[in-house]
Amino acid sequence: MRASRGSEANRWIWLAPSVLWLVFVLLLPLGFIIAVSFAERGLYGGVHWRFGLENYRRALDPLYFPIYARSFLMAAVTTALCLLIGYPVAYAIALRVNPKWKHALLVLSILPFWTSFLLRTYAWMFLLRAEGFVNTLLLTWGVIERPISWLLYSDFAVVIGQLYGELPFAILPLYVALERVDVRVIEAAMDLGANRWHVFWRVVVPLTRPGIITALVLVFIPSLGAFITPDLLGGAKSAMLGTVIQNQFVQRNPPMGSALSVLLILAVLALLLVAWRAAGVKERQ
Amino acid sequence: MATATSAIRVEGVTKRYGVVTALEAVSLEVERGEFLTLLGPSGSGKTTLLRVIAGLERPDEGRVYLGGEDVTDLPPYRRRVHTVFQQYVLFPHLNVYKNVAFGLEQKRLPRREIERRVAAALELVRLSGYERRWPHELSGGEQQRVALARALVLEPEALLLDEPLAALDLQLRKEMQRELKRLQREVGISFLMVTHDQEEALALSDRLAVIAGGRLQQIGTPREVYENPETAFVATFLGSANVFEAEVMARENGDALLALCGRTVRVSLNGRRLEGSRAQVAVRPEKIALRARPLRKTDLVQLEGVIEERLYLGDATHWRVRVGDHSVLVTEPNRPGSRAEAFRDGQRVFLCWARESIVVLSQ
Amino acid sequence: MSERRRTSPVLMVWMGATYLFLYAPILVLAVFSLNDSRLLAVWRGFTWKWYKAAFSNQLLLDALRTSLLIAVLTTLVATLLGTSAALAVERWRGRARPLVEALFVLPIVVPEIVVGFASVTFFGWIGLRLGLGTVLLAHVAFSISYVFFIVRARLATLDPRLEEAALDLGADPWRAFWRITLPLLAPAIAASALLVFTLSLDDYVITSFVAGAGATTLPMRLYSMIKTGITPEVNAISTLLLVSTLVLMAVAFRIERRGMGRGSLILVGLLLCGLVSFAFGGFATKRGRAELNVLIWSNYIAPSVVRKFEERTGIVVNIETYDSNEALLAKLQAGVVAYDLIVPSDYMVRILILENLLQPLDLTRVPNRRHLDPVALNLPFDPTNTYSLPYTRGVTGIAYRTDKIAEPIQSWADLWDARWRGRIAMLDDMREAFAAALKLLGYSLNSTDPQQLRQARDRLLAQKPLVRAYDSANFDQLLLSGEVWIAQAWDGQIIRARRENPNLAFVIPREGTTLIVDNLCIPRSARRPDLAHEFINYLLDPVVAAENMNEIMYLMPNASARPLLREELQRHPVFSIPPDVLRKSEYLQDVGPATLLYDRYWTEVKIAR
Repeated sequence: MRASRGSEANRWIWLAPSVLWLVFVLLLPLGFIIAVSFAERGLYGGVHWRFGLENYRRALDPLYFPIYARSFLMAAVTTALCLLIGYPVAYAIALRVNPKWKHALLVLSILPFWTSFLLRTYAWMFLLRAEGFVNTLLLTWGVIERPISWLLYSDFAVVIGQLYGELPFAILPLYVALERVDVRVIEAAMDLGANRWHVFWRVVVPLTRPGIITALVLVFIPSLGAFITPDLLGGAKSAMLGTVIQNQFVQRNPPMGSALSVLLILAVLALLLVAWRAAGVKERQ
Repeated sequence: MATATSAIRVEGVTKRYGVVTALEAVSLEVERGEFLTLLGPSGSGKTTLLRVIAGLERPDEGRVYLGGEDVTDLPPYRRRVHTVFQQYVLFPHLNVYKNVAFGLEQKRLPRREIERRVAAALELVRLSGYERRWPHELSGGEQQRVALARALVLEPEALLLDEPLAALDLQLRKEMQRELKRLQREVGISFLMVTHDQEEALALSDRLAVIAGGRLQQIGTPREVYENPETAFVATFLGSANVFEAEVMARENGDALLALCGRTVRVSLNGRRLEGSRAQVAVRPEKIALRARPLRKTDLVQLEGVIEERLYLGDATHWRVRVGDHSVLVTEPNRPGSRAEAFRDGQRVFLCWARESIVVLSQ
Repeated sequence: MSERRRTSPVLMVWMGATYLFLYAPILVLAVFSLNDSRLLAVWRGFTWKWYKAAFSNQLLLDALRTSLLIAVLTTLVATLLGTSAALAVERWRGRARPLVEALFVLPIVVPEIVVGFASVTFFGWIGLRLGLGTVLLAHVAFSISYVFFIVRARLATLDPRLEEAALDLGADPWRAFWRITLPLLAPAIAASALLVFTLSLDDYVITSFVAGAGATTLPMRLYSMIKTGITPEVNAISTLLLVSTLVLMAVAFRIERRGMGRGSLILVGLLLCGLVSFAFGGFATKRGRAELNVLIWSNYIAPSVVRKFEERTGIVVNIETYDSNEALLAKLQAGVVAYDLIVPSDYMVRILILENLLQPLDLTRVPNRRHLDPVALNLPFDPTNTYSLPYTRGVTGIAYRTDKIAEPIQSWADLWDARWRGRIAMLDDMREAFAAALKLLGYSLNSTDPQQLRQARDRLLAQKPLVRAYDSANFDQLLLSGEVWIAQAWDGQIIRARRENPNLAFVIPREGTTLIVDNLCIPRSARRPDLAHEFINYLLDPVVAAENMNEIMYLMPNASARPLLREELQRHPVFSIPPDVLRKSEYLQDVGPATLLYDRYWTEVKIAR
């Protein structure tokens, strides 16, 4: 096969279908919305091809800043929680539990990822409603006197939903990184007189930095553009980047939606660059 | 002409990777039924030569003949040579039977024929009954045998072996060396083996070829190459040797008169040409004797020196003796009552060896 | 140290809690899908009835079929393309390689919402018809990358000499590939195929943008079901899907670990056959029959009415839903979607006419129009009924729980009452929200005066801290479940919900309100206007209209059908609006350039905390 794959022309024949597909369905549309983001909105929607920076001026209007700040904050909180909850779990699976159970526990932790995100979100709606499972339970037990109202249609619900959806994406890379840590290095550190916390912060965490960065990227990016959770669990009350972009489409304003999309892509690219740098520096050390 | 019937003939093969020249104008012949070893340090180009013969690399210049036929332009799967790869490269998803049958199936032979020949090949490598085993269940030695069977079952013109024993531990390696030799004699096929292990090369080969820096250094029977190394590289790479600089005093019918460490010695040139006024000579350390006092008998070369270091190695003792600017290596087997035991560091000793032990190297 | 690893109790508890967090929601959902009660969180006994209901829901089964069809095709195409691309870049040192790899990274790093938005905008511009084809295009695009990276990772660990060994043993490159490389890649290819299959089956965000007529996938159907109300039926389907994927994946992981026995091979084979035949089966029964694509509000047509039409004519009616007039316009503008019949509200009819998106109706083919009530005819948005015929009429009003709120509700101001803080819902609809505020201030709800609009905005901003949710689809459920006690609402849904809880009231505020007429229109791009006319005429038949109304509980301006209506509809508030309130009420009209101002103020309201 090497012989026939080897030549440049042959490689392109094998590549062409996927490359063309991606160019047509992804690259051209992305290029197109960059162009649209500089155009104007028609009176009843649609695109009016007169170019200017109006959409970006509007997007950078302080009016929108709370949306960006909120999206960023929610993504950051989700990511932080994912790492906080996921790291000990990954650590336990990789280094602490009986190896016999390792595989089963790992599979159990990523299994929910394979089920529908939409339905998992729905499950939370069911749990968190005013007359939902959690409230009913707490009322029956007498913990509360009237239903907690901020369970659903709140930032709390959005974070819970995001956390629920993204946790497997944190556990998996963390596990892979922790799995590679040589237990003898930890033992050596203990032997040199470091206490547990010291070993954890000075040895284990630095060794697993690539995994932490991967988890960060894998959780943060989807959270930043999240749409389903803010819409369903947030009650469309708290505008976030994803819902605002979707709204531009519904409100027939492709130019504005394009400008917001471009800004979101730029944010993601900047983030990737930073993460890539951080990971790269580590590897050289 | 004998060459028309040789199993493998390589003529002036050159192979470059960018600016690196892996092989430079290498010519080589492997006779039918011969066991020839390519010996060289890593990066010397020996594996590249094997791959060129197998067809896995195309030479930039030169031709490759198998059984007298020019196969330079043929792809690997049209060549009647097969390779035993380093670390064997068994197909992990096929069991032993399927691995050995793989080549036969490519020829679309009838099933019975395939079964018969696989059984025969497995018997040859003493693995009958292993048909249903999987590669990952086999030990290193067993994998090695499967790899051999997989190639031999196709009855190739020649078998190419790329460091076949390198992955085995010492004990198993010795055992497999004998096994390889036996196999080769039994099937009568030419073996071309690559190795960096000189002992293996000496023990197995009918002839061996030393290769370095992409060039063929010397080819001959193990004895020829060891006893009469052509270059300083061969002398030091195959076994060890003391190489001296000498001044050429005179030349007369095949002999030369050399000035060596202040002595004048007459040596045989053994047909080698000696040009200019300087020459390099080599003396194997085991051919040198150590004495406390000089001998009267003048037929031997005698040099005076001081002992620098002594290394006891069980079967032999290695000495370093300082003679002028040279540090000369001397090895002596540890026989009972060996006089050498008495020598101490810093002691004055005399080195002596026969004139015939001196090999004049070509430049 | 050979000491056995000890897990600290804190770590154990932490892990236990995490797994509980991961699985508890699914478990609770599964248990309550068997609960014999609509008030979902209290156990009332065991029942299978929600599962039966789910399985007899034709729309749902159709959506499942569509999803499976798309998932199977996506898996095939993406696996093939992704694998060959991974093979092509293997050991490639070409200068274009980083560019090609960057291209493959794109679908993974670009947020879904952007991918969806960009592709639908682009497809619309080049005039690509949205439908199954575009869904497939999009799904394959985001799937290729996963296959590419998974297969490539596996290739990188493959010893290149394995292929060389095969060549050396006499296999030509093609056979070396088939016998050696491909079998060794098989686990990676299978894993990526599995991933692609589930991703495709699960995708909502991108699909919702690029799906057109006849391409409603299961997640889309479920999304609209979830948005329009949590019912035990949705619990049942969710449980079924969640549990079956969990089991399937557990089996897959086991196979990956232990290798594939003959038994599991047969099982997987059978499963695949069943799946494919189910997915394509629906396709086959539909093929050859004429299709009518209807785009309509959710819960706006009785399934029995549709079924009878299908039986009578042999035509297949595809129903798709939207939940705002703007979404409808966006769908029509974005792609050249082949809808044959749409149901825009009054002001949207005007916009569609101006945008040249409608075709004139051939009234001679709709003899049943004579049954229509003149109050709903010749309205300002289409004075001669050239493009539209009224389907339903209604009003926006206030719905509330009489068991929670004792005093009578009569004014928009009650939606600003701080006593109901956190128990108020507003329609997630820019114009309706402003209408309430404008009417409260005594202005026209079609105001374009910046001063008045600013005041309305300030009212809405002041109201925001009291509001629990903005929701145009789910408000009846919010009231039923007690999530909110008082909500801005449309009539039909509330009257329908009253069947489940009589403590639900609907009132028309005394300041006047929005009058609504939803209309039957045929888009210019319709492929079967003939069938559309036939369907319109069918819907206006008094018997059909009555059956339809009695089910959906929205009122139709069908004079001949009124005697056939059920009790609750006879007492519909629309029939008894006081004349002065009626005088103060208006139809929504297009506000022209002031839309931008509305947009801006609405965004401000949405952003405010």
